[in-house]
Amino acid sequence: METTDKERERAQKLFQAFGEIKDEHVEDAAEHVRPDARSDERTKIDHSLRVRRLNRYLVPLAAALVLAVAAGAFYHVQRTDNAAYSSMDTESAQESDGTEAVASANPYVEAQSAEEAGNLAGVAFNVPDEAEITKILGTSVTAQYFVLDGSLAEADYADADGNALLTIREEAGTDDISGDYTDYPYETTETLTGGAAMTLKGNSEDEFFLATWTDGTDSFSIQALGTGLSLTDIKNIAEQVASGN
Amino acid sequence: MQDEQIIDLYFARNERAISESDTKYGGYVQSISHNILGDLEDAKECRSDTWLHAWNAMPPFHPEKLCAYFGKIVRNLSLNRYEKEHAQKRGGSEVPGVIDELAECLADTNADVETQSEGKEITAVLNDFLEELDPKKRALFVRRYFYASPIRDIAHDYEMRESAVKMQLLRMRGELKQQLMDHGIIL
Repeated sequence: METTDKERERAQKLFQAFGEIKDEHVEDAAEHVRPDARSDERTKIDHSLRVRRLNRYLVPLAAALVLAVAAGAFYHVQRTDNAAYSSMDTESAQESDGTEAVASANPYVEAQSAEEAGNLAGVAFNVPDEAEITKILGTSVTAQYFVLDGSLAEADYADADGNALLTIREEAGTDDISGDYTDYPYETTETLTGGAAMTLKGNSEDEFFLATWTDGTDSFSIQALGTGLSLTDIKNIAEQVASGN
Repeated sequence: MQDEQIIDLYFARNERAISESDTKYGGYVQSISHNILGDLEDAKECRSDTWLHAWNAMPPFHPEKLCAYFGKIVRNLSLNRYEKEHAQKRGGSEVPGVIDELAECLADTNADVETQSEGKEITAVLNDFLEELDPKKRALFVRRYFYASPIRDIAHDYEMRESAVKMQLLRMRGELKQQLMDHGIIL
């Protein structure tokens, strides 16, 4: 029998009520709702691009929320009858006078060059330039440089359409700084010229998405954000980074 | 990174919280949004919006289960967007099918708005109902009606035939309908 519009409206209310079931039920069923079963990309992070994208609309959106509060326009949020969502927007309202602080709290500082990023972060940060990465990846790239929290230098390489392809990081210390916690099916180790043991992770012996190593003083990571890199290519990049330290 | 560490980053107003959230839960939230919206670009935007909402909520809100918290945020964001932009589109969204299925749980009624049950009452019955199910059945039900997962995905994930999933869901919807009626829930 055909569902009527009225029935759909009532069923929609039931569907919305499912949004408030106990967290434990949501979490228990989350096992398979995991990395990108239905997306065209792997679950990896383009750290700086995401933060920059966030900041681009954080201020206007926060301002809009303030106006919405002033206009008493939380009707829609309340109508969704979802505590998680409504509590969030309430907090947005409470922080209305703190939106500037949110926007200005960005720990990412853009540098004009890899050298400047290295100086600001207190590391050597000898990363391949655009031409070298273009040659390795076989596609024209542009690079942007950032310093995170005043200590981590990052180079982001993107193609002509702005798609992030590669991120290289360096920070003093020996911890894993990649931020990539994907459980890759293949892992191996390669020794760099200076003797550092580099951990490589990816899908196979010739498709790598992550390289991490430390020279005992600094920690490094190379993360492929588009397609995976061959062993030759990722090792080539790593050798260039490592040779400057 | 552990969930509590991610929450600490939010409380420290460290934007690394966002990248760490996305690294660990980006695929999860995007998958939920895609189930609801059926559009990859929209799902990606909801994924980004999820972190923004979390950023605005923490502090002071401290979620006990970060995974479920993000899941609920993105579900709501996606449903709001669905209502605004996709109500007339069927597309790849699972929502129309899910709504049609849930309509089977409705009791016949001529109730007007004033006698309708509140969302909290409905959720309380749903939670009681879910508690009584065995874990696998509960997961199937939650996958379909919280996550709006396609039947084929559920069948694949739980190594079942699609027809078996449909049959299990049908039976559980019948049981839920009875429970809703027993508790006087009017939708």
